[in-house]
Amino acid sequence: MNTLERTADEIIITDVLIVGSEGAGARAALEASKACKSVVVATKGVVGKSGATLTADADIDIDSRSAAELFDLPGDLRDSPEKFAEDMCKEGEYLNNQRLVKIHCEEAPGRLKELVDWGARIDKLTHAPGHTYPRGVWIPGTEFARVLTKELNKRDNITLLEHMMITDLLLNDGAIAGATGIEMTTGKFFVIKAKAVILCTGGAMRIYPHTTAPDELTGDGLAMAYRVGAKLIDMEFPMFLPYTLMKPESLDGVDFSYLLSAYVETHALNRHGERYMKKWDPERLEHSTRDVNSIAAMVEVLDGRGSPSGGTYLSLKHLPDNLIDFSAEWFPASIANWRYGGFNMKDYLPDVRKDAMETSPASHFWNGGVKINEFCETGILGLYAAGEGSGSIHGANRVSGNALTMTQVWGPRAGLYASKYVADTGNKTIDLDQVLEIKERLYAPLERNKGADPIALRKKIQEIAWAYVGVVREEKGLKKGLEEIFALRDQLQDVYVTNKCKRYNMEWIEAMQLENMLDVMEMVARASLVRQESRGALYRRDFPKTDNVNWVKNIIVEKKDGEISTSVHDVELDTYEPKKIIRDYGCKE
Amino acid sequence: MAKEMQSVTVKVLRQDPMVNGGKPEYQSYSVPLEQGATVLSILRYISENVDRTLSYYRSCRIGKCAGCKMRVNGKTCLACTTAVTGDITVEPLKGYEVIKDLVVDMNRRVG
Repeated sequence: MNTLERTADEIIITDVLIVGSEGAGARAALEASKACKSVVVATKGVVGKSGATLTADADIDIDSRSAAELFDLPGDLRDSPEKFAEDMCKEGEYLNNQRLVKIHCEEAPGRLKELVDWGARIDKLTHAPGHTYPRGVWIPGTEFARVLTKELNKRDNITLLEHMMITDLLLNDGAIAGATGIEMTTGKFFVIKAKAVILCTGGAMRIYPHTTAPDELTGDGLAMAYRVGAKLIDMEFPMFLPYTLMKPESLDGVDFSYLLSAYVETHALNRHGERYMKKWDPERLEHSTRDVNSIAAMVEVLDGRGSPSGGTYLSLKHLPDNLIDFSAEWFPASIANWRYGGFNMKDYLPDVRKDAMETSPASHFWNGGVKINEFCETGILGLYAAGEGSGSIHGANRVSGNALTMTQVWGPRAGLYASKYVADTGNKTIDLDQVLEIKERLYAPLERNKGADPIALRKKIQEIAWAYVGVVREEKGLKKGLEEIFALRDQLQDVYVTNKCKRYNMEWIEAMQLENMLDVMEMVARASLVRQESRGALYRRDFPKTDNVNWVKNIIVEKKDGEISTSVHDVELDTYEPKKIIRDYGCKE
Repeated sequence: MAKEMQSVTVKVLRQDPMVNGGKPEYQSYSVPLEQGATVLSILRYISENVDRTLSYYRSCRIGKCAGCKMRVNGKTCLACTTAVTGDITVEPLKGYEVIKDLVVDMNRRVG
């Protein structure tokens, strides 16, 4: 007879399971560990060596007054959490949940203070576009990783499960009972009985072929939440960063060239040598917003004026050689002397005095996600979400520096409210049938000897996402994209892997990620199709105006009768309101 | 006129602790050398196009996470930021327990 003990290779029992170990996940764990007996943190990668947080380049936003008062930085005393909240709503094009935004801005300074008390080193204060006052306190993402990993290791009641891909959430009578996972190093099937689960899995930037994000960001949490009936919000707003490298291929998505464009006058050119930004933002040109730069580039590509690799050119050739040489000396530390991350960029770039770089927008951030309230609750009892994979905070767009703030404010909140919930609840019985079904699905690619190739399928998913659900969208393309997604779902049924070894089988991991990528892409496509206007990070070419008369609304996607359904909801504008006008996209008033 | 693509030989020290008594063995691959290739882009090429059984760990691809630390031609480096211009020998990071091939348990030092 099948029992849970026979079905699972290992069973772990805990109060709270946190999926994701970095910015939001680590903070959720540290907070939950104060009140819970046991906290388990599961990550697909290695703690402190994975996830989007450590790639941040990087400032964390707090109001300028608190920056001055708490951290002795040259902040502007005229600023306040309220002023910061107002800027967030303005940049989010008023789709943010304003109650959550106020909490975000009020709690940010205190959460940064905790991080500094744990030993995080902060530096200067920066003033990024979209902020009325300088609010970006400088901390590299790697500093978050260092400090948070150190703190996680200090807590005896936190267990870290590395190389653990959490695959599905388990429900009992509509409430969370736990989750299943594959330990990638052994191929073992885990059942984790948890009273509460907190999803801190980040965005799904990897559904696109060009991204600044690490490989593992395949939207697992978004898809898992969707599959158990949670609501997702603002999914039509993936954010793109312009001018990232396309060549060499090994550096695809690297934002060194974007950073260059911020410090020296670069020319973005199409294949005819035209500075196409003149059509979009004649005054600011390449210094226009990230969205407008991305959209303008993609329109050139779609209309047949792109570069050979399907991007546009970014040129420094108009600048004198000695100016270019000197720039490397005064560039900020992160790109000084043609070094970036661990790269000596001179090994990889063309001679920029002579040739242009081929660049492309790249998927950079996930504005929407699992819909949460102020307690990080998702509507599924026992399921919480925080960080980039949660929605409602940023609305249609995020201001610079606010991704890290999101992890540090909402991670702890999720940990706090999940621990309050588990105090009055017991571990629930696991539904064996649900577990058996999941296990069969996960191991099926290892059993099959023919079928669809997971690597080819992943590439196809990315190709379709880019072509039809990418930087520039329109009805015809979105419908075509949905047809393609439908066809891919068929192929997913018989995906198989050639490598039959269960230990660290990268082909099998790819196979397990495919359904998540497809679910997320379809959610983006369906939500984008509903929104008949352009706003924030979404550009609908067939509806190029921003319509504040009809579209100050959130689109919610959820699973109904086995399919992705959408609904449109008014936003509660309790404090900040947009002008009720229809205006050109990209022009704020 | 299309240039003929140069190839390089990539020697990888492979190991599965559960197979063959965990004995490490070198395996050689011939890989086309793309302009701007890195050790990571070469490993990706092998694992996607030549040998799906090859295992390695990577995350950020830009020299920040340090998860892809390994030995290339005897020197410890990050696979993602190490340029490849000729033949290479790739081995797992020294001093850590090997999980499989180039994946090591960064929490478990040995030797």
